Amino acid sequence: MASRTSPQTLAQKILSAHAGRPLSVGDLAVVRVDYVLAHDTTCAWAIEPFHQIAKKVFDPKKIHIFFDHAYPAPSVQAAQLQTKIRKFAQEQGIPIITDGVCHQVMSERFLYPNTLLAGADSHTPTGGGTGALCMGFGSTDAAVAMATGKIWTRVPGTIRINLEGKLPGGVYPKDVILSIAKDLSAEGANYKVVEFGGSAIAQFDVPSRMTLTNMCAEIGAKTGIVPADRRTEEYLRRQGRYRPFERTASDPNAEFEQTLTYDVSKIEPTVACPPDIDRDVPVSAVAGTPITQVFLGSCTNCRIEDLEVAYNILKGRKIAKNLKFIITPASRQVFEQALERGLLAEFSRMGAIITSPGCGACLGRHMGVLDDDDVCVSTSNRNFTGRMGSPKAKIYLASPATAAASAIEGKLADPRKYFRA
Amino acid sequence: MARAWKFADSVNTDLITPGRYNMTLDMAELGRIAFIEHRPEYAKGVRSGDFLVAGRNFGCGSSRETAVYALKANGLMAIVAKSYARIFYRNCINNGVMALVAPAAFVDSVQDGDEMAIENGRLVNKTRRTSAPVSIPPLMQKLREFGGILNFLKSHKIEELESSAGSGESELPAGVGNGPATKNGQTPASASPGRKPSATKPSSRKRRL
Repeated sequence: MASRTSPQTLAQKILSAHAGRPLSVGDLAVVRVDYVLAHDTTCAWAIEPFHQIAKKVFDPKKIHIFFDHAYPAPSVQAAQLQTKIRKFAQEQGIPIITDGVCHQVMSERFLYPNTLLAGADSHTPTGGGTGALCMGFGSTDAAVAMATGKIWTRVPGTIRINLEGKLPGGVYPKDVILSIAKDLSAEGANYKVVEFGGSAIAQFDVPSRMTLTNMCAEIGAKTGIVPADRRTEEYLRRQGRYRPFERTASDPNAEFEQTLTYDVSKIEPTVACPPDIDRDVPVSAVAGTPITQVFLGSCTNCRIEDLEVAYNILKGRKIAKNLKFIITPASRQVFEQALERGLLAEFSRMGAIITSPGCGACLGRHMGVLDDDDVCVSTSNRNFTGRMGSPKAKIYLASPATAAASAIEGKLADPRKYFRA
Repeated sequence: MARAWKFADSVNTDLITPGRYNMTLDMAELGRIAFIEHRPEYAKGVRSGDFLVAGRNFGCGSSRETAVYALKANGLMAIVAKSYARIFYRNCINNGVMALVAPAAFVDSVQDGDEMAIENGRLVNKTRRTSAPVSIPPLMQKLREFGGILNFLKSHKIEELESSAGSGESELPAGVGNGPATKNGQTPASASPGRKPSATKPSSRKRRL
């Protein structure tokens, strides 16, 4: 049991508040959740388990069910699962949200700092960019959380990452998190919370922060979080749903299991080579590698800011011949912003394939599935063997700028030569 | 005999149940698609009571619980790995699946097809005559006894997991990582890891994992 006076980490504070008692790192606790998230795959698997233990959900207003992984359905099988979920949601009085990737929409519409989200999806940490504690779980956990409004969890230790300095032109948060992944490895943060801070973080807006927290899943973390501050307030105001929040942070003497500091001004455009997240190299090391597809999408990197970054590189230039350039906005809001700013028209004229918002090609179900010989530059988060289609296809992960530069050349390319300050 | 199916490091859930195949609610079908592209002979050859032995960070990537269902459907005795990714490991706990952490030297001693068993609280490679202690974290043991968290919740409140789980171990396997949770890590269990008597009798292969 933690004494009330011993210094605490941010994650520990949020979990303690949701357990109703002070918790120490390492404690096993049952905590109240503020939101439950499930989607067209994980929710399908949660329904039968749910019915084993409950008739009604604990609070339909706190449960968010998204169709995003394969929507509109690309197969009869997917359509059937969605019908099942719709029926369940109707019975329980839960609306189905079809406005884009669950993590993006949760941040746009629902999450507040210091709240707790239990999400049946591994990229749930994305929402940590808003200062909420967002943990990814499986379908059984989703069923338990929908039934009880609670979840069991260990109070994780924290790895603190301080980002200092200013990003050079053509270098983005994606390059930062890929550099971190290289240093920590794909399991370097297993079971831990990654907390970001430092002077660079203070400059990053919430969408940029979401790219960092999103990819904490790829280094094994329970979640990633950025303590809420004035940037968080700006974001909530921009989304038209600001309400005052406590600027909760780790105590000055809180014990971190590891503290890493990066000078982001020294970071280069970085690419994760197939098939692992921690095979990261400067783009210069692989520049010139021929590619067949560029995927600008996913909860990692297809917000309006990312589309602007890509446009900065692409404006007035042409996409390489025979290249599939697929743009899948992360949400309907992003889609509409891009529409209003004329970006979709510009991208379309360049020959891009613009799809409906959602997960799209990221997980290889539809809208950009790869064949054996395909080589894809993707702004998403996973380059696993077979992730986007054929197990023989190759996936390089990169920033939207690197993806855009590569689209121009039809080869992996350094965005700095096209970047306009 | 129960054999080992040996896998390398960083086996992710996309390899276990690829996203293009796992859109089904049918457990038997999921059993058939386990490693369908990564290792097509696995689902055809695996027998109830076999062991899946893997390297580091087993089950990393997507949260898809179908990965656990697919392995469970084929009736593995246990998964043995050097370390696990957290959501997969947690899904094992919730489903009453035995996911054991073994020392790297033991895992490295196992070759594909070796004869494996759990005997007297030890994991035994009969082919290579190597063994390692079996350690089951209290929460995993508790939920295994109930056949998973759903069965537990039919007769208990979720809060009761806090006290039943003992101290420390929950999502973190014993002996893995350097966090405080390992401070209270279980010493090797002296009792047989399987609650059910059948767990040590290869002849009666019904409910495993």
